[in-house]
Amino acid sequence: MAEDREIAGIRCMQVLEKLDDYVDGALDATTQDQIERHLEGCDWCTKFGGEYGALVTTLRSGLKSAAQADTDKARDLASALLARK
Amino acid sequence: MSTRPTDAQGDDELLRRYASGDDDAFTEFVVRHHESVVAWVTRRIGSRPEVDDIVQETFMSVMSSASNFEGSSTARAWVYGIARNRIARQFRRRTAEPATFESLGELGLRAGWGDPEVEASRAESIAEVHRALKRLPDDAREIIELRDLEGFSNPEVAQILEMNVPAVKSRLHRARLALMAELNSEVADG
Ligand SMILES: [Zn+2]
Repeated sequence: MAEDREIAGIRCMQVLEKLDDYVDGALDATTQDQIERHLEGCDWCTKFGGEYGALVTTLRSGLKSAAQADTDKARDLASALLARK
Repeated sequence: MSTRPTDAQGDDELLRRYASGDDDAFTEFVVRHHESVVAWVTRRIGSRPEVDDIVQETFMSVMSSASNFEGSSTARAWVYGIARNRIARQFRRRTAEPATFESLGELGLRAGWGDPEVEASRAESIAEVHRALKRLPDDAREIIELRDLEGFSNPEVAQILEMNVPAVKSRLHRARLALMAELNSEVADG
């Protein structure tokens, strides 16, 4: 059964709450450093954080790139709308 | 953080030019966004005849309010917000807060946090992840689609969903945990 451990001055639950910003690299340097030190000493958070990050990476691997398809349909719609003005 | 297929400044410029009488700028704007709006509306409501109507109404609304666009976020997020309102109007979707109040700790446990039985670095295929995504409640699925599949930033998602950024981050975090939990249950079910 999981417990909320405090390692490097931060609890697992707080690490969990900051995972999104950690994955996005959006944390300030102090917090980032604190989380990294927590991860070094916490196997749960290392494993879970790794899976969490991998899931976000998998989701984003399907991120749409610039599409240049079917501009005719778009142009037709624009013309139809402009004609109705 | 993610890069957009079309540059935001160009979008603002097109709306400004259209507002001052340049119809070609509107056409260019539609060409830039039409396909992704069609794909997103289809993802939201499925492949139905209403998709075309909603897309058409969305760009009609863009046309009539181009001069009011203030660039509070990005034009692309603004267009998605309009499309989302059209969908809500058509299908009377409730956009209320989710009714479940599972604590973050409980949600984390279901997602496999602190569970020694969960296999290390189990890699899910994109297909598995998308199947699990389809089983999430609509509000959770929607925020993951916007943030991770469409690549919108947190402030852009906030504009589309008419929420503040902290609320977006909180809902996104819960949605991703729920997705992990769903993937875990898929494994448990065989
Ligand atoms: Zn921990």
